[in-house]
Amino acid sequence: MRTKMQPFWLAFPTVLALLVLFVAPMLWILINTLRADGLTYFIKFLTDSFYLDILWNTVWVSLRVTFIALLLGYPTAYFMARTKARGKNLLMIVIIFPFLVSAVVRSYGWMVILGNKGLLNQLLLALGVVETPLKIMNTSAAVIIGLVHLLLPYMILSITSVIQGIDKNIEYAAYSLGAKPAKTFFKVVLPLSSPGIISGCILVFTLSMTSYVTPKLLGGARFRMMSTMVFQEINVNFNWSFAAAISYILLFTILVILVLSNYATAGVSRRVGGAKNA
Amino acid sequence: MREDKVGPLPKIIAVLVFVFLMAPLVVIILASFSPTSLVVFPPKGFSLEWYRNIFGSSANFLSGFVNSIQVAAIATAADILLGVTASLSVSRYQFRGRDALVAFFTSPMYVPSITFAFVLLQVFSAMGSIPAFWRILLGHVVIVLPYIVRNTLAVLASFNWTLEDAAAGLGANPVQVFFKVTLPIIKPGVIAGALLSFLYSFDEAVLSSLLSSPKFITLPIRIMNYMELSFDPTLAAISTLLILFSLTAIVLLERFVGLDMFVK
Amino acid sequence: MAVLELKNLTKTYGGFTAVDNIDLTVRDGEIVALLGESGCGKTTTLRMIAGFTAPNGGTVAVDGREMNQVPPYRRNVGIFFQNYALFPHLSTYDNVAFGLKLKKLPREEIRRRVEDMLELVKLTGMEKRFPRELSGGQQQRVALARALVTEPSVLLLDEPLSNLDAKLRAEMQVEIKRIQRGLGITTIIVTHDQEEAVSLADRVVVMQKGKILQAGEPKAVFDHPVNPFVADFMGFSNFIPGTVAETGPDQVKIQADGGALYADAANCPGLRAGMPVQAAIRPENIRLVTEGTPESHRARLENVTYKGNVTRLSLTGLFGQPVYVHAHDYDGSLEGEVSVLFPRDKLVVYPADKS
Repeated sequence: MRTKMQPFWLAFPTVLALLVLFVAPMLWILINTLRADGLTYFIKFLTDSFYLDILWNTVWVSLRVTFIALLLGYPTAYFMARTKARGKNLLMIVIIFPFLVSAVVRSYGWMVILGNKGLLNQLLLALGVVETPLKIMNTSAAVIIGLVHLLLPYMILSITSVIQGIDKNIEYAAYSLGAKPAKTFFKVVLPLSSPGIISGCILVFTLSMTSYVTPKLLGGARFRMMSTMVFQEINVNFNWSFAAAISYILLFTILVILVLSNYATAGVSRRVGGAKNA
Repeated sequence: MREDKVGPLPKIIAVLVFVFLMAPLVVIILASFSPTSLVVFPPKGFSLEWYRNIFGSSANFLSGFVNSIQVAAIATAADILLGVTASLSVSRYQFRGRDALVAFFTSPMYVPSITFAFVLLQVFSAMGSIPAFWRILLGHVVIVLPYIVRNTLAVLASFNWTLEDAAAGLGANPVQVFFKVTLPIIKPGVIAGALLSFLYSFDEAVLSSLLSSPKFITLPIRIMNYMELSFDPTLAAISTLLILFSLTAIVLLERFVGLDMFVK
Repeated sequence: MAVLELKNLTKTYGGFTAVDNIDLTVRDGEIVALLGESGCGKTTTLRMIAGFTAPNGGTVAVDGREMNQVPPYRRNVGIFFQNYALFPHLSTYDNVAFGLKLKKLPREEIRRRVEDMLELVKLTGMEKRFPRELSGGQQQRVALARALVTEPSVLLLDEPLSNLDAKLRAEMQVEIKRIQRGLGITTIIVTHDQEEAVSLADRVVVMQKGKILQAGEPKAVFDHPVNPFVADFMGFSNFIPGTVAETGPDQVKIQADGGALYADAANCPGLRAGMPVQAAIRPENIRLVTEGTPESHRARLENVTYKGNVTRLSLTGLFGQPVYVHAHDYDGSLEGEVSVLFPRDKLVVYPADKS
């Protein structure tokens, strides 16, 4: 007895909760901000090169994080998807477990490693590789390392799941037709895993763009990314209108990227679809 | 061609990645036992001083822990109710706009937390003095929901709906069908999702930071605040406890439900 | 065009022996079917010939050249996979051309060979279609074309007809045989379907638990299975227990519960008087007679199931167990008591302890 009304009743509480707690506040503040100051602060942000630099810095950091995560994550994902090593479960735990640890803790760990008196410098000095401590903390390098560490599992899992879904016989078919393993990889596995690559990159990029804790702790007060800027405008400069503008610019940037990438993924999936295990 | 041997290159990179992922956590655990306030390697001794400090220090880690647990528990509980009902509504029935509804349920995931946190801050400020506990709780209810929905949708995707028909045919009304048939079967998956969501709320630092008040601070924020004052290994000690907390969670998850949900 | 030789070929996984020391020679241009149920080792054998699995013992040799150390991409073997394994991101043309492109042949020659092959499998015009746009039968033919176009010395077919409906299956049986005969490629087919094996192969090799039970021409295996397991697999669904009453140069008399059966001596190797035996006969070989004769047996008709091309009759009262008869052109006129004949040349008798 499936009346048409049932989905409505089941969905109702959640829809209501989201409307009240999420949609309404987001719209209300947007409207309020526009009504109070119009587009002044938006324009202020978008026309001042100081602020545009911060946006660009955020994008540039995120691009590098995404690229490194892809370089490191793809081989790891391929290994996870194809290996028959026992203890694969243990490896899964290693990949997933950092997920469950707060960004605060993870960043703290990197602070201990990367600081001027941190473990890395201790090691390098002791080995005589450098004479003075490397300044890594409070630079973009530290933030990138921290963000890669934070977001790498997303990339790995995204790609692993796609590669696991590729019918193994397709690889065997390529071998039997004369393709060496490297050839098979580039002509068959890589194209067929592209949906996973794309979704992994999008995920890592957007999470990196909106990250707060890691840039704040590893980048220091003078390293600016969008989220830390918003915090600063709120808590230090008490310029809430400007903070609102920045945070909405960030939101719109993310939305545009997501919409564009949706089209890209859909196109790719259509071309590549059907790789699933028979 | 040997049986499925993965080439040396992926294997080497994978090993490096595993070491990389574990490095800061291992360092923290080692550092927490350091006898000196500066962490040196190789460690010059062993001390539990920093662990004692957790409880004694004025940093109020304990109250932070309690606060985090409160928020995470209640937010997760609320989201289980909201998330499971929402997932059922779009999984059981096919209707036009189903995909849009799913997108709506998972939409908070795509909004930067800083944006949403700030919006809530302004809304709550305009409404008067709302206690920080409620501000953070309501915010977490929103941002945790997408994870429970996504997880429950995945669980329901492999659910055999004809079981519900069978139960109905045997005389069970919809409520009985849910509690006697559907719920028991999806329970493990839902609990796994709830565990992950709990930890996500527990670890959350953006909303918790912006919406906190001097009277209500969650543990991650306490840790961040402590860092501003002093960089001693008390941080490592409390972090180690949190790491063990998470490690226990994932080992339990792997034992009882398996980790396949992450590679769906 | 090659001779394939398997010598002492063995594969074990941990404690489990998948392929147990088998010997097989496939002649140039011959089609051999490896027939057996799941887990009998036929697919593992195929994979060892292809080079996807390394044997633990023994060798695979093509034209006298040992292939054990040769990786699959250097063996000149064409493989058809049960689930087709077409490259989903490539068009039909590119799927078929894949192996040729790897050989770095000139474009014109590739085009010519692909087009010829597509014509051979009757898929001309489908070059630009992607696998997901093709029907099951079309995908199957693309997979076949892809395996053949590189002119391999050996062709391996893994369950080539199992995914097709009855009509397509009949069509493709003819097609595969026609193409193979035309090209003369040494072929191995792996299947669990005895009908498929018998209709396609020059020689049928029945496998069980990693061993070859019987190898021979289809008719030989079909009519004279070497033991009850093979007999059962090939469709002998009647096994009647009894004891050897008399042996003779011409025929053997079996005493069963409630009657005597006579079988040609040629079908009763190694039997002595007094030995407990099982007499096997195919359901379609039992003849219904309208009137009793001295050699016929009376039975009661228990159940009639119409199966389209045959009618399956269950009889009781014969030798203490149900006996199944497949009758063509059954007009439904019989009921109650019937008479049946067990032709001497169609009964095959085995000692009772042989499995």
